[in-house]
Amino acid sequence: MKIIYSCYGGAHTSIVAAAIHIGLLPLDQTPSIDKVAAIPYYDMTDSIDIGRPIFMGLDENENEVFVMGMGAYRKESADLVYQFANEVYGGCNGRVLIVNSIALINLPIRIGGFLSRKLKLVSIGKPITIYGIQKKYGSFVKLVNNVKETILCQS
Amino acid sequence: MKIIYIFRNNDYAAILAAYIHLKINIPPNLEQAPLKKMKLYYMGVDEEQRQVYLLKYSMKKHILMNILHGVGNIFNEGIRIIELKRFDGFLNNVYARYTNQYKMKKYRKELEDYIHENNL
Repeated sequence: MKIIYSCYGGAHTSIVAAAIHIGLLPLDQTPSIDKVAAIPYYDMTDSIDIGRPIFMGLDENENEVFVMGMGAYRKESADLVYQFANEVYGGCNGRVLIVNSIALINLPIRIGGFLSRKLKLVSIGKPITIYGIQKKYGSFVKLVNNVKETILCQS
Repeated sequence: MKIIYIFRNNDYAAILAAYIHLKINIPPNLEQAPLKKMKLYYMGVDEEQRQVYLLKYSMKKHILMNILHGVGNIFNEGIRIIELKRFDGFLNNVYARYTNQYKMKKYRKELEDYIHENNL
């Protein structure tokens, strides 16, 4: 199964959610700044990369986990991916799941993301985003657990 | 392999392009309801067993290209994207109001040349 975590830019919330899903970040405790900063692709994607899926890895059930920034076109992009999956597989159930992680964005992530990605002030913006992630880490874990339960129910 | 014709607003030229590509007889009064945006329309399979689609888009083009190429990679499907930007201009919106006969005459040769240029 292909699981796609999506957010606006594909740089912060979706990357963290995907990292938790594949075990790069812990489920039972809030990770340190260094651990979050060390996630592959964290705070790296630019606006030119919006729409490009990034393969993060496989989870414990060999599901492929991707991350995709969808910009301001979340609904259209998700519809398009599902339509494509329909064309390829003849149906999406059990094949593709798109998880929207944009609801997990809080003010520090927004501000830090803007500073880092738009203004290129990475040394200031990145730690602010990580602070925001740490503040909301419980919600990320909840989301991932829900996704894993959903997948179990579908299979 | 999937071939996707993408365009912004010239539905007529897009459908005609698909007919020409698939070498299907074109109805003389090619009339259709406006195509929905961001919906993949399956048109058929060409001589080389490639599936031909139309996609009327409303987002930024580079995002759409990223998505289409990206899902192609995810699902291990070859994708070729053909832009019909040339037929989407302001004047084409004006021609859209003309009769089908006029539109057919205007677009057919251009589309045939365009498809040939793209080695399709």
